[in-house]
Amino acid sequence: VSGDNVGIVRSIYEAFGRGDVDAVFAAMTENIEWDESPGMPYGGVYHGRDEIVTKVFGPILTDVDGFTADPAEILPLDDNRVLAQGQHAGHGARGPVDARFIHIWTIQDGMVMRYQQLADTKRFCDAVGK
Amino acid sequence: MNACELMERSIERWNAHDEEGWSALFADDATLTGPGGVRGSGAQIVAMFYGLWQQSFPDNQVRVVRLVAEDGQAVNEAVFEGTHTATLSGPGGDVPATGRSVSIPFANVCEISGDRFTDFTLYFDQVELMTQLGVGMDAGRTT
Repeated sequence: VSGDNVGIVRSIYEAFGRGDVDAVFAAMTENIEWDESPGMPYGGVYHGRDEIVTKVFGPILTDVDGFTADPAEILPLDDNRVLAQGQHAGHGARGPVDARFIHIWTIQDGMVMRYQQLADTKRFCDAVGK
Repeated sequence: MNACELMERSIERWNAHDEEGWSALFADDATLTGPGGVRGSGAQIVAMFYGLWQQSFPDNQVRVVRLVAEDGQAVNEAVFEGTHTATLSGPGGDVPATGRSVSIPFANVCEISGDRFTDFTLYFDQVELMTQLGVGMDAGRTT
């Protein structure tokens, strides 16, 4: 099960990387909880595709030219949770984004139901000027 | 000592404010990485990291939320709680004592060989820390 979950999470990063938002959300429950680090300009807890796109994805892609989230490592934590650690990159209004992240994904019955982020928020905010 | 026991020992020594006991759990060439571009290896970075947090939050305690470990690797989700009573010297500057208490979630991802850490990576929200300290984004600015 944990190996399947790692594959699910990997597929989300791959879909995000090619800009396939439909595929990103196809791996998630309808009411997925998205917990963005409070220190991010888009920090908060959001639910569902519309809110996540409006409050997180849209603003990030506006603020960061060529935004990427590349996981260097994806690990199973237990039967339901997967950890990814990696690097955010791109170019903000004040310089290049170079912020490490850890994402914890909770998966139930093959669908992601929760996402939690801990990121190097200060470096991100410095780069985008927010 | 397995990976779980090593992580538990590390937290116990940290909370006891035992620098010698905590530092002894790192390999001589262990790498340590943290927010703000902190990265280095060896005893000097381990000592710098310990002093940075223990001196500025001398009453601090780490409260474990969840610890997952298996051979060679451990992940610790926890909360750092303490009172900021001395200057916090971060990678981008100093934040003088504020007297404020903080509660900061963090995560460690560690690589382990034998009885010691070989890689220790820390993740936490620096902006949230500054917010709880009541200081602006320019404090400790990194770029």
